[in-house]
Amino acid sequence: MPSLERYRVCSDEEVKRILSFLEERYGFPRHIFEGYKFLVRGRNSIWVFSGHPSILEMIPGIDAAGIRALHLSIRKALKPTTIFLQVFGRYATKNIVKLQNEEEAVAFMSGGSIARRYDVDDGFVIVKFGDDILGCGFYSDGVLKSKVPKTSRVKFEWFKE
Amino acid sequence: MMLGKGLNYSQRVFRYYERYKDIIPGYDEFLSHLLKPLPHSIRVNTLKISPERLIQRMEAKGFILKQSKLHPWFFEVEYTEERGLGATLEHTLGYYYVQEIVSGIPPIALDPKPWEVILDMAAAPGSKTTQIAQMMGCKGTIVANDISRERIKALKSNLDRLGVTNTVITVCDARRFRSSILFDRILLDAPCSSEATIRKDPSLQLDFSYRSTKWFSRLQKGMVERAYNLLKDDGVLVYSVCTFAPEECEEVVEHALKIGFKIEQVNIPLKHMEGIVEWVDEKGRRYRFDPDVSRSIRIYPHFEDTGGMFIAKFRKV
Repeated sequence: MPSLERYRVCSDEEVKRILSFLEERYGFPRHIFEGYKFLVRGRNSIWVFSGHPSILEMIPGIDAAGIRALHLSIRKALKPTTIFLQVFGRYATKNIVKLQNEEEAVAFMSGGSIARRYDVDDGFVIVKFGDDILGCGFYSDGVLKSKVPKTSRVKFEWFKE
Repeated sequence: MMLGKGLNYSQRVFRYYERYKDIIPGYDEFLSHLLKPLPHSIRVNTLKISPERLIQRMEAKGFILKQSKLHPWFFEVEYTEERGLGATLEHTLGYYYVQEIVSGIPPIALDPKPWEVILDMAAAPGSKTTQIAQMMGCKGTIVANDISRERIKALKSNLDRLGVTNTVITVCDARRFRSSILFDRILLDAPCSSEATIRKDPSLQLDFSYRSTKWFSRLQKGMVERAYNLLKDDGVLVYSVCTFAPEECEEVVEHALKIGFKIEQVNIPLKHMEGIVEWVDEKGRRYRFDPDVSRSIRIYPHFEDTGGMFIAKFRKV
């Protein structure tokens, strides 16, 4: 069995940077993350955990803790995960793309792209349809690409008549 | 040994369950229910959506939801849609979990409270872990353990889908689970011969093996012993199995009593029987259990048109 890298609770300075990013880019109010700990494991991922952080020291061999929240993309941009947005995205106020019809929602949720101009900044955005937060997309030059991971996608044929 | 060659499916089912003829009331009705498919059911994930809103959305898609007697989060679902409950946007977004009604009972018996520390000893694929998280409002901590790395994948994906943030995952044999803290409550939904799941899984192996039942019984007793050592004083253990075999039910409960657990009553709004205190198996072996095992409960498929389940609740005193 491969030895697991341990989780580490983010320092106050790191938390400050994470919260600033979430607030500036998406308008997340800071107080909604009270009661949550941000954890790091490896060099590229930040996790969010609402359990007692002391558990991480008291039980050996922890394989996963909470949900993966942010990931450093290849271009070194911070990308919120679809799972994280599905939990917290309703508190965001900016860089949100609202899809217009079910056809677009199905295309997005099955991993496709949508060519349309949206009034959002280029980069990773939150994608919504009606009341549903669908997940993370990447917007650039009038094209929205789905960043929904394979495991969270729908299948196109579910929606065929 | 009778191998059952030439028997059709229902004859094999009848032969398999014959050893329980004298302990299951309404035995013929019991048998006929084993051959019927299990009604579909779901648990609404209130971490993400209200039951009212989900009913509205699902009914607009042609699903008919009827609230279960068990708990307001559980619904029996009827539909004609071929693609079923796993192929909807609502499922993908984690608004519900496809869960058997009886599988909702152990977490209800466990009765976890926010801010507690809970261990789920055999957690994958996570129906009960996610229900516990929901009951705690993701406050407090759940340690979800399973021995199988393969099954852990399903557990992780369900925790992600339902948006559960207060759970850590460990992968080990629960009998050797190590921890420097003690738990408030432990759920042991133990590996078992699974014979009460036949309605959900008609491909179940139908050659009864006494050896395998005894093997499970030893494993379950070992897990109960570990649970005792991992619990705080006054901590609660819920033991559940989806089998009717007294070797894996009352015999394990009796073992728990011997090592110092005190059994408590489980109250649920579904028809059930008490644990049995006496039985004679197919070879004429007579078992007489501690009278306290009668405080555990047995649920049979013909009582409420469900799967089968055995549950006992203990306190470490």
